[in-house]
Amino acid sequence: MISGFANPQRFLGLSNWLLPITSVLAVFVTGIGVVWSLLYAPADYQQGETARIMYIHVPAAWIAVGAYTGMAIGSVSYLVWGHALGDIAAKVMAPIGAAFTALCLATGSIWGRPMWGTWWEWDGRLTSVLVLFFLYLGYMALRSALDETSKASKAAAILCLVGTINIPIIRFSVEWWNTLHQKASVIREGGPSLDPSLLHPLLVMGVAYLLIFTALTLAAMRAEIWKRSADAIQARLQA
Amino acid sequence: MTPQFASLSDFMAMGGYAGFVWGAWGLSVAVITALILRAIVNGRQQKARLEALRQEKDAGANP
Repeated sequence: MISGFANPQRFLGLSNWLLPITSVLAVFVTGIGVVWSLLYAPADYQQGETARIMYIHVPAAWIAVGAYTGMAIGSVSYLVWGHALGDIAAKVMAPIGAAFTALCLATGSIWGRPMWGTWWEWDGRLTSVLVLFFLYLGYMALRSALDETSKASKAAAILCLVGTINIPIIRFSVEWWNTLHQKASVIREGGPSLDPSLLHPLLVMGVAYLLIFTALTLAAMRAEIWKRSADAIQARLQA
Repeated sequence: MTPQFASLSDFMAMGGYAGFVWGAWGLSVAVITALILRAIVNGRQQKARLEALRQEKDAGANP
């Protein structure tokens, strides 16, 4: 199963129907999530209507961390088993993950201004997510600075894996440095503390973001496979 | 479930936080739309380039 996914040609066949299915589902779930969170979810008793920023901020944060974790898994599969598809997945997830991290930081900043009274604070959670953003940028800068060789892929994979130390730091930052950002209220021991009327639309938006991210990643992986095939033909033609 | 807003102007006002709520949502829609467009354009470009090169290769193989 896994080695089936690792074969680029079989991946093209599989993604040929997986991509349209994911895209249609993404449109459908996003539609429900947007209407629910903007129109039907109640305003928070403390934060009023600004709590509607949660429905785009928290899913963006999940994708920011999830995409990096996906890159790390791809990097391991490339380094250990030499799966080209792991390298391709890691490469294409970087700019997508960076965009969602930027969205997480920007929407958090916009939410923080009215609720905390500041756009930015060097709080543990905010700082560690900013570090995540720079890790994405560093990974992309390294890849674009090196020619497409297996050495470049290995260097990028190692950089990615070194950066995974930041993932548990992001997770536990709200426990270790209790400054401004609130503690986890969804993925926590004892279950979510968020009221179901807010939790359910948030989970729908989380699924919507996951579907959008999956569709974007599948599409980008297909384009990268085509690019590598084209590069290989071009190299042979010029030889 | 019932809508939380009595009127469209209520909805647009977002309890006085319109700039923050619509700013954050608008930015998210803009960035995700840009990601989708980039994926479509890049996919088309790479596929077209690969097909053109394959034809060139075949033409070279059978002159």
